[in-house]
Amino acid sequence: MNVIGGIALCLLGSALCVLLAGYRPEFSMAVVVCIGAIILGSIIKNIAPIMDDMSALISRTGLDSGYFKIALKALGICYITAFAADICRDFGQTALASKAELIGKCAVFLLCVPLLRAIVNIALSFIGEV
Amino acid sequence: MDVDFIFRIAAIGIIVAVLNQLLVRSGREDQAMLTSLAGLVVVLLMIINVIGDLFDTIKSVFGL
Repeated sequence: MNVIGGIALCLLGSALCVLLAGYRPEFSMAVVVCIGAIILGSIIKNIAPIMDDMSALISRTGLDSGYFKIALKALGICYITAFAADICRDFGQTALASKAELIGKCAVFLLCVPLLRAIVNIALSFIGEV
Repeated sequence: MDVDFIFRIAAIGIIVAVLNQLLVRSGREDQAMLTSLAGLVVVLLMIINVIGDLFDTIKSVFGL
C-alpha cells in the first residue's frame, strides 16, 4: 500500500478545495468526492488478497464459511455507508448523512437475521437436550 | 491512483471561474450561468466514473 502517496493525495486535495472554495464551491465538492473514491478504492484493492487468506483460515477452522461471508458483506456495507455519510456531512447535509447511516444499519441488521436464527436454534436444541 | 482526475477537476473549476468573471464583466450574465452549469455537468460526469469504479471494487471484494 502506498502510504506516502495516499497521505500526499489527501493534503493536496485539501489545498485544492481551499483554493476552489473561494471561486466555485461546487467544484470543491467534486474534488472531495473524487479523492475519497480514489483513496477508498485503492485501499480496498490492497485489502482484497488478505480477505482471501482470511477466508482460507476460516475454512480450516471447520466453521461454516457462510458466516464469514456475512461478516465480509457487513464490512462492505459499512465502508460504502461511511463514505456516503462523510461526504454528506462535509457539505452540511447532516440529515442526509444520518439517513445514509440508517440505511447501512438496517442493511447490516437484515444480514444478521440468519445468524440470530442460528443462535436461537442452537439454544433451543440445548434446552431440548436438558 | 488516478491523480490526473483531481488536477483535471481543479483546472476545470479555475477555468470556469475565470470565464464566469469575464462574461459577467462584459455584461452576459446568462451565458456566464450556462458556462458554470456546463462545467459542473462535465465534472459530475467525470466523478460518476470514479464512484462507479469504487462501487464495483467494493461489490467484487466484499461479495455484495
